[in-house]
Amino acid sequence: MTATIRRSPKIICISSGKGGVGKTSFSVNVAEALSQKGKAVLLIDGDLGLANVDVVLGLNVRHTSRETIEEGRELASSLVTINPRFHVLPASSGVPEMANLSYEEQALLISRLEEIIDRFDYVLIDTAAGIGDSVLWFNTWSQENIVILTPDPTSLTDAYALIKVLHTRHDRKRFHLLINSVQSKKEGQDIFANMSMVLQRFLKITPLTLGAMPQDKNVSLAIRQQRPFLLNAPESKASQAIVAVAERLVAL
Amino acid sequence: MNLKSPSNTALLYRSLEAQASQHPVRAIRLAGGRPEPLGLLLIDDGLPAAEVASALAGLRCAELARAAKLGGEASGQSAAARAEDSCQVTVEERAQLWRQPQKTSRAAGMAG
Repeated sequence: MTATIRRSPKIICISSGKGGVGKTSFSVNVAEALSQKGKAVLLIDGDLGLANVDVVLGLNVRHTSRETIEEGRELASSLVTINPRFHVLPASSGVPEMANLSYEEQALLISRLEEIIDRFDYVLIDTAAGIGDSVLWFNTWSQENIVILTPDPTSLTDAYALIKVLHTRHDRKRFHLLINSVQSKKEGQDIFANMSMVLQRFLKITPLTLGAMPQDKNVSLAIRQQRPFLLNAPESKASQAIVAVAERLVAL
Repeated sequence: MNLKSPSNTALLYRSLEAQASQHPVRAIRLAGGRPEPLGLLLIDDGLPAAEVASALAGLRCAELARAAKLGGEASGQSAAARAEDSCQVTVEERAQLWRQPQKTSRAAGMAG
């Protein structure tokens, strides 16, 4: 008889406000990096109506979180195994109803998640873009909130707006900033310093840094090949940076 | 050409608000029954409310009396609208977010 290991996972939400800043690629690769460190990881595709995690990983999924909501299907049977320590709960694609769950449906999904997450050390949620309901309640369910931003003014503004909403209306105080697609280490430091100053001045929040991810052609190449760049190009600058991020998460 | 068209004054007010965010002053829009703001007050941040109200009381405008209430309530919005907008990113916040860092040499790649 094999004893089931029960864990108390760290639940981490990954959001950005603006879309297209690299949330899903980051989520997939940091999950892979954590699994390579021996951690059991569940990556939840939180973009419930426009799934991306399965696309980035090249998965052909049969069941998603939709079946749990609509048919009462057990969540565990919808999990996809990427490697023995990395599992994915896929979302559905092209289902607007999943992007606008009722309060009861949200509660059902959360309760079903809480039945299975004790098998994992880390539960990562790759949320949708924007500041819609699902983004907000996934963030409030989580223990740690990662916000991904790039140097573009639109990304800076949307990331700030997301943090402002989570802080003002949902009393979230602890935010980890990840600056994506930087041209240099200095640029990443400057972006973090300025955002940190604005958050401190206007919201009295002191953010934490998860570091910066460099612009790296291996990232887009891996996405097109539907493989994590950590597996496609393990020696690349992006891979080195994602391993460093995983180490910071383990140290939390 | 009318150099003082409503769109020009709106741009002026936004520019002044952005500049004001760099200084210890409060920028208070004066709103009335029109869509565009009536004007803009720039007041030292550290002044006591009573002193500001006294100074403003001498001006002949009912919208200015509302502006004398420090605490960001001089826009003329209803309390419900203000509550709803409390998460809206302000002009001051945007100006700070969009500040350009000092130009640095673009060293190739990530160091360390």
